[in-house]
Amino acid sequence: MKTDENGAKQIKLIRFFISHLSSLLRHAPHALVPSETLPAALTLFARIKCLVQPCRPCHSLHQQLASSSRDELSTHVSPLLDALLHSLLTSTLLQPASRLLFIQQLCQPSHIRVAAQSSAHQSEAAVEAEAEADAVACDDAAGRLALAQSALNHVGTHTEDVQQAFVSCLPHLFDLLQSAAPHCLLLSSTGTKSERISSGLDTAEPPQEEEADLLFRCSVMMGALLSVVSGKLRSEALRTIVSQVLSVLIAFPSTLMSIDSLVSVRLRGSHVPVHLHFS
Amino acid sequence: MYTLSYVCARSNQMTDEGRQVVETLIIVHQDAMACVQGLSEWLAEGYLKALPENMQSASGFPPGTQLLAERTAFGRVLSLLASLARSHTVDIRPSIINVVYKGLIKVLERAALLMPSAGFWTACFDGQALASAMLQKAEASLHELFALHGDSNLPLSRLSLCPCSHALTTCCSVLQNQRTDGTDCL
Repeated sequence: MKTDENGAKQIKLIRFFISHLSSLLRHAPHALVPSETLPAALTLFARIKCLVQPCRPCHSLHQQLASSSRDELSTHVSPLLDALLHSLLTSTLLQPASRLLFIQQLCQPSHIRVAAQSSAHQSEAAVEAEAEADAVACDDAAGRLALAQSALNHVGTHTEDVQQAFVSCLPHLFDLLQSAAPHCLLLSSTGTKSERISSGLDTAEPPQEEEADLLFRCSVMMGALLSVVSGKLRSEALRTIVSQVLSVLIAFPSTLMSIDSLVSVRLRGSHVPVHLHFS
Repeated sequence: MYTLSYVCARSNQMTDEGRQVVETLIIVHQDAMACVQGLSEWLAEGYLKALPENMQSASGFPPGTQLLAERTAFGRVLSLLASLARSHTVDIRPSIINVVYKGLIKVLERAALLMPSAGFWTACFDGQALASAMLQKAEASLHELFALHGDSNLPLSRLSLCPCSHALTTCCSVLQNQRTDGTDCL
């Protein structure tokens, strides 16, 4: 009980600081930009965001939090982070070059996951440390993905240079998706269902719903982007998406049917004629 | 020369008034909230409300000079308030910083109507130092949250803009230099 109370206090403090930071940024926009603080701030936001549904952290913290704390995170802290990110993207004080850099920082994992190099001589501690680093990297990627998804949901309200920056960062977003794969693949079916409803994709449930979630989220994000950008930018985005989707298919061949149906739905929704041939 | 001396005199006068309040705050923490409220009320309600009238009555100086003087003076007092907020953010006294932030934001809201120039903010309000301190504390709370649940291995990121580490020279403000307990920020 004491732990729950202390946890709730810490979450309230996080909410408190993020809330006041948003106010500060609104009245004195130069407070955060340009600053060397931004990359570290993004990492912090991602760590907080990955504790909020639909993410499911590799760390066991989320399950241990009291339900009131989880509610506080999803109801108050998460929207504050979304609003803060939106303010940063719309701030006129960020020059296009800085904005591109900021979006690149958002879309790139802070830690690179390295392939496991287990050997017979590797100590148990080293294996544990490696697993821990992987879990942190995975949480970070999931948090960034959630932030990016939030930004892309409103990408239509941003300037063309922000849209261009997101299109340029599409390959990084796919990397992020793959880094966050354990999160996405472990999503509960309830969360996925609500996401489907909110994004207008409440169609017949595919049998392998959980396995397809990685690609579902991918299609939601890409669909949001494709539906607002136009002309040359859309062609560029579409080319990148198709090539990235094909490379994901090679990595996850079992999800062929899911991606076929989901991506087709989104692409049709964005009125972009496209024919994918899987052989 | 004449203009500059007026600006300096006005600036010093206001800084002295602000400093008096801050010094009281440092000595008696129990009175901190009342002092900060007093300072922010004075800035938001008293000073800013009276500003147009004061500027009209300050005859003999060109409007540009008056405005420069007031902006400089106001900026210095605002810096005191911001450094106060930052100091208490670092020292983490939630009941006090809540009042400080509310006061600071109220002053910013009011000031934005009268002094909306971006150059003004950049010149006199070290928002980056304050924002860094707030981010540091949010990160510390997250770290504490993990530690509470038995996971203390979460690596800290590089929010290393601690005022006392002199990463930002402007952080070492009047207030910071007047700390009496001799402790470091973190």
